[in-house]
Amino acid sequence: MESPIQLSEADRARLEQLVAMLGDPSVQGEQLRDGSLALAELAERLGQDIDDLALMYTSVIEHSTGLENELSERNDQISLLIEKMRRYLSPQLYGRITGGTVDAAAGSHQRRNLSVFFSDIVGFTELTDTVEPESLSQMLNSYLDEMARICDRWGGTIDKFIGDAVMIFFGDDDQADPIQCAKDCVCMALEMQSSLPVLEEKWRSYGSSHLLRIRVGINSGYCTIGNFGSSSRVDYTIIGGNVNVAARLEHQCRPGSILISGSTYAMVRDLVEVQSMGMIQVKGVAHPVETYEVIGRRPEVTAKTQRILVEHETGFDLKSIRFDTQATSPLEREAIRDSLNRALARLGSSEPES
Amino acid sequence: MEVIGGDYRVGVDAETQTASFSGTLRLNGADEYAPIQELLDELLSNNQDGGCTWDLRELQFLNSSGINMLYQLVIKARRMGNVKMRVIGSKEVAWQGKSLGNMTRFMPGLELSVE
Repeated sequence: MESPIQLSEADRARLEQLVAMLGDPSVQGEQLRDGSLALAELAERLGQDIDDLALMYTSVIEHSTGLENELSERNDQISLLIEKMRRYLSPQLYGRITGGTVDAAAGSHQRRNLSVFFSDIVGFTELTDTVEPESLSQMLNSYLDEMARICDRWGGTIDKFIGDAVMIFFGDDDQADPIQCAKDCVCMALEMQSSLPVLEEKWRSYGSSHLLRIRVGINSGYCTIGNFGSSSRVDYTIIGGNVNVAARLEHQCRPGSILISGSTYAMVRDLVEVQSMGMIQVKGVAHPVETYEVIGRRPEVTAKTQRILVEHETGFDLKSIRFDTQATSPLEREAIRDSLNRALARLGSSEPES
Repeated sequence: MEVIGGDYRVGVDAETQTASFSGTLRLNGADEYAPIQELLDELLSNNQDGGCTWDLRELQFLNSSGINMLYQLVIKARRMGNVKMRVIGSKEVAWQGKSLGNMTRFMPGLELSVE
């Protein structure tokens, strides 16, 4: 369709003809008057076209502005929703969703070599019966907040919180090195354990005298990772025998400790000192699983020992030791044991000859 | 007669001389709008006596090229002199209030109903 507001070929030709005619000094009288009238008529139509164009211009601009403003409002709404959504997702999953790299269809999944972490608070169920719900909520949130902060720092993916239990995995990245993932997972667990005294102080301010200790289980191996659920509601999570082993290790763990499997230990043996805790049989897993309790990072054990026992050329200074069968962590136990052994050794070697 | 795209439809009911729009119209420029423009132009040209109706209530989105096309057709209708134009819009669709209102500035005789 030809636009109604454009000069047609016929109009253009007529205009040229009129201009030529009016410029011709031989054209006079009635012919001149008719030419002038025709030109005036054409000019009026062109003026109307200009009016329509001007109106069209402002109207289209108004339409565009309306759309832009609506778009901007929608963007703000989406940003708000995304900001709310962020708190429900791990930073890794959030990044993948907002970056468009996650296929949200239920059923999309893959096999990955992961390190899986489970923890829970010892005696939390009893605590729920003795503390006011408001305080309990503050206590639990402060605990989970700290655990999530530590997890983020080590690059773990929080799979879910189940009450006081935390499920985390490492290796949610094609390029992730399984060994580094296992090390980061164990280091995270150690940091979580060492953060508890400060949290316990905080809990006291909420009116609790509960001894804050957690159990941790860690296992490494191939798991299935992806979206599981119905077509209308999916969870980005992990499943498989190795996940069950990690959960079982957590149940088996002594309060205040970290229990890891043989497959995890094989990847972190240069990082931590452990104590063998024997084999366990996990339902659905064919072979018994080797278990190890983590004592501490090797340099940390040494550093803690040096804080208790300061040795010098002619003797040593033994700092005060506070030991509690419930509260002292395996790491601290090891440091105390190491310090006292060293002190006894120095004493034995310095007995005056009789 | 109709023009159907991935997420839009413009159909003409010859009996009621009504063009019904639905979906989201975000075609690129006059060339891509040409099939719709031809359809509407035909409706306009064939019904100079009885006039025609555009029902835009189900048209959720219309970009600038789209509104430009509609405005040009309204100008054409005005210049045809005796065409009775009716446009039906919806208050529920944000863009329609202001942009359909402007159609009456191009054609004061246009009958606009925003329901």
